Amino acid sequence: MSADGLRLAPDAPLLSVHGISRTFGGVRAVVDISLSAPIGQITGLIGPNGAGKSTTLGIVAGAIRPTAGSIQFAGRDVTKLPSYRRARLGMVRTFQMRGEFDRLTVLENLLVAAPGQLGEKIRNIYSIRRTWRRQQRELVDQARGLLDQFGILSHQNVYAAELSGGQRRLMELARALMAKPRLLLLDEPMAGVSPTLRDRLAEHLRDVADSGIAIVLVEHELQFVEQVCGHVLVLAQGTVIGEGKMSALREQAAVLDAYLTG
Amino acid sequence: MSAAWQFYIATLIIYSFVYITAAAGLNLQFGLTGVYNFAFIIFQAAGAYCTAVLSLGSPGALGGFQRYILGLHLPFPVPLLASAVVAGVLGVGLGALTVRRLRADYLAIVMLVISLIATGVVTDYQGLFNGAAGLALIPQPFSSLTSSSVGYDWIYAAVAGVICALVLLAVRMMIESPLGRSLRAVRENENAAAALGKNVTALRLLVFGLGGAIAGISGSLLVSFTQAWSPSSWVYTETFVLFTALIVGGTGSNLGPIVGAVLVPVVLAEGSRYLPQFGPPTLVPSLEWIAIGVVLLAFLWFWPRGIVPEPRRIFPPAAVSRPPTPQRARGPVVRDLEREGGPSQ
Repeated sequence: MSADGLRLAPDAPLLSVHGISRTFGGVRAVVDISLSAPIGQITGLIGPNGAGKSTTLGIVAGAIRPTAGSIQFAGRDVTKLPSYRRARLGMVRTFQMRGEFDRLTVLENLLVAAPGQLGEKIRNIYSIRRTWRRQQRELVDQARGLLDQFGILSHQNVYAAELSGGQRRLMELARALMAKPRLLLLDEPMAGVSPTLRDRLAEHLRDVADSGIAIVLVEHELQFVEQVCGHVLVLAQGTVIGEGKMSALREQAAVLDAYLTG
Repeated sequence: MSAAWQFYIATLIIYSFVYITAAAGLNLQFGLTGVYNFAFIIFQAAGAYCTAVLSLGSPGALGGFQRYILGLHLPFPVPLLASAVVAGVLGVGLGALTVRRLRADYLAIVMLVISLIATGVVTDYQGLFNGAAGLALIPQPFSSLTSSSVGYDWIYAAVAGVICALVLLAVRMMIESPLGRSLRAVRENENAAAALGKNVTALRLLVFGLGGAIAGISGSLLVSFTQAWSPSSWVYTETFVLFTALIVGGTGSNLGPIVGAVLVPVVLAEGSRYLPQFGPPTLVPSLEWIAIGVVLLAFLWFWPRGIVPEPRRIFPPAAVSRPPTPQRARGPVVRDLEREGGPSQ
C-alpha cells in the first residue's frame, strides 16, 4: 500500500491524536493522551493493566467516543466518524479478545474484510452475478495468498472457532491486511501466541510496516515491543508517563515504578 | 380421491408454501443476521391486511357489515406486491426505531412488546381493519379461472408454489453472496464487522426490510386463500411457531426453513387433528402448544443447528475456478494437506 491519494505534508504523521480523554462514570480511563503514527513505523503503547491502552486504541478506532480531544487521519478530522467509516478510510483494528467470526471459515473471515465488494450491494447480487463472482474469485486468490504468507493456508476451510490462540492472531492480522489498511491498530497481537511464533509475527509486522502502513500496537510482552517498535509510549492511570525508544524507557524511574507498583 | 381429501391436501400444501415463505424471511433475519425479531408475525399480518383492503372493494358494496380503510378492488398481483412493499417499509420503520440502539436480547423484548401493541391497536381501533371480528369475504384472485372449488385450490397451490419458489431462490442467492457473508459476520461479531467497514445498522435495517417484505408476501398468499383475517390469526405465539420451525429445520441454511416449516407448523400442528378426542375440548389444542415448546427446547438442547445445519462454505481451488495461469494453476487443497504440520516459511 502506498500513501497515494493522501494530502499530507511530506513528513506529517498519518495519524495524529490530540489530547483525547475518556471518563466512564467517575473513572478517568484516558486523560489527555496525544500520539502520532507515521507511515512505515510501528508505534507501541505499553503500560500496566488498567493503564488505558485498549481504551486509547478503541477511541482511535472509533469504538469508544472520547469525551475530549481530536483525531486526525490522513489530514482529515475523524473524531466524529463511526468505526465502520474509519475502517473504510483505512483505519483497521484487531481485537484483544474474540475478534473472529467464529462460524465463518478462515478464508471467509478474510473475504469479509475485502473492501469494495460488488456482491455486497443487493441490486448487484441479481443483476451482475458474473461480475461479482469473478471479483470474488480474485479475492479468494488474494486471501489464499495472505494465508499462505502467514502459514495458515492449510486451515483455510476450518471454522475460526476451531483455531488455536496463536492461529487466531495470525488470521486476524491477515484479515486486517485483506482490508487494505493504511493504519493498523493492533490490540495485543501477541496474546496467546507461542514463543516460536513470536519471531515470525515480528517479522510479519515489520514487513507490513515497510510496505507503507502505519502500525500502532498495544502489547504486554515488552521483549516483543522492543523487537518491533521504533517509538513507544508508556501509559499509566490513563496518561502518558514516558515516551521514546524502548531501550531508553527501560532506564526511566517512572516507567519502572509504574510496572513494579502497578 | 374424494373432493374432501383433495381439498384437505391442497390446503396443507398451500399452508406449507405460506409457512416456508415466512420461514425463509425469518431465516434472513434470525438465521443469517442474528436479529431477534419477536414481532415477525406482525409483518405477515401487515401483508394480509394490505391485500385484504386492496382487494375487498368498498365496505358499502359488501353490505357494510365490516369497517375498514381504503377498500380498493385491485387485480392480482397488485395487492400481493403492495403487501410486500408495505410490510417491507414497516420493517425498515420499526427497525429504524429499534436496531440502532438495542442489541440482541433487548431488541427481542422490545419487538415482542411491539407485537402485543400492534394486536391491541388493530383489535381496539375498529375503523382500521374491523377490530376483533376481523375481515371476511376477501376475494379469491383467480376465481374466474374455474368454477370447481377443488380445481381452484389446486390452481392456487400452484401459484403459491411458484411465488414461494421465487422467494426461496432470491433468498438463496442472497445467502450465497458476499452480502450474505457480511450478514453472517454481523451475526457472529458485530464489533469486528464494524471494524472491517461494515455498516452494521444499515445491514440490520436491510434484513428488517427484506424479511418484512417476505413475511408480507406470505401473509398476502395466506389471506387470499383463507379469505378471512383477524387479530386471532396473528397472536404473538405464531412468531414462536416460526422460530421453532426455523430452529428445527436449521438456521442459516437454504433447506432449513423448508424442512422446519413442513415439520413444525404443518405436520406437528396438523398431526394433533388425528389424536383421539379426550379430556376437555381445549386439551388437545393446548397439548399442541406444549408439543411445540418441547420440540423447541429439545432442539435447542440437543441439536441447536437443526436438521439441516448451515453448511461450511468451501471455495473451489484456484485451478478449477479461474483460467489457468502457470504459477496459479495448482491444487491448493492437495498442497495444503502436504503442508500440514510443517512450518511454511
